Amino acid sequence: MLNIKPIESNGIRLQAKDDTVTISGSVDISNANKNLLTFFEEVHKNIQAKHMRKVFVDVTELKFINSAGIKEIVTWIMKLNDMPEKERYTIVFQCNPEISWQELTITSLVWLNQKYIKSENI
Amino acid sequence: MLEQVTKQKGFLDITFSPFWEFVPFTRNYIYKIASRYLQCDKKKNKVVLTVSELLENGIKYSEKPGVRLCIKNFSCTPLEVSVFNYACKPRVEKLFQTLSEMATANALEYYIKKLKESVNTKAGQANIGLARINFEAGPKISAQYMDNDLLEVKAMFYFEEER
Repeated sequence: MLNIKPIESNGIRLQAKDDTVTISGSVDISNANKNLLTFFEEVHKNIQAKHMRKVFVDVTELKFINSAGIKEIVTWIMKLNDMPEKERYTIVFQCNPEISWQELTITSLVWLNQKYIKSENI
Repeated sequence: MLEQVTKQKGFLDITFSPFWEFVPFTRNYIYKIASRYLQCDKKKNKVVLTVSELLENGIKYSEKPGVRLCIKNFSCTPLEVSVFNYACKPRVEKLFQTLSEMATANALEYYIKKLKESVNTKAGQANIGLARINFEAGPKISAQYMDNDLLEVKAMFYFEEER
């Protein structure tokens, strides 16, 4: 199970505990790259090391994410795509239906790997 | 000049220095104004997403200080979002190439292609902003490059009557 030290900086909070990664706040140009890149690298390594088959990404409290932030999530997903089939794990994005932009943004991420990337409203 | 522009219904003009921290403030400000004129949450978010991504591009690729955001027709159609910044010719040529590709491609397919390519872009750049606007917000996007190296990128929203 995941247990990564939370990161809180410039309006974003990143947390990975048990089987859930939580991204909340707003991801902007001033905080996107460094924080997200490092965080997702660690999450990916942890999932591999612990042989997890499924992880949830809770974005229900994510108010906004810019394209630089999306790039870092895509980088994580592409790492998953590069793994051997038997080692791959499922990422389930948990969205907030009341935050309307999430529907299209997360849908486009699902298209990067329809077998292993899922989304659900909670 | 002031009289001419303020005759338009719902006109807003902000010029600021290329300061990243101003982007979220401006986005939140525009969201509040959009909430006054657009009832639909999806439409508000489309405008706000466009403002945010165009401003980030304006700041990121500006050759000189100064980025200007201009919104026209908040209360009628088409609602126009323009961002002005100074840009070099090679950058502008790349922009026009992107706009040309987007015009003929399927919006989702083009966005997915740019998402995949973004992994290989250098730190601080994703090169997906315009494709994201095109897919998620769907305005008509155009650009104009003026003699003084001033670039205008414009997004026009043709929202239906129910706003």
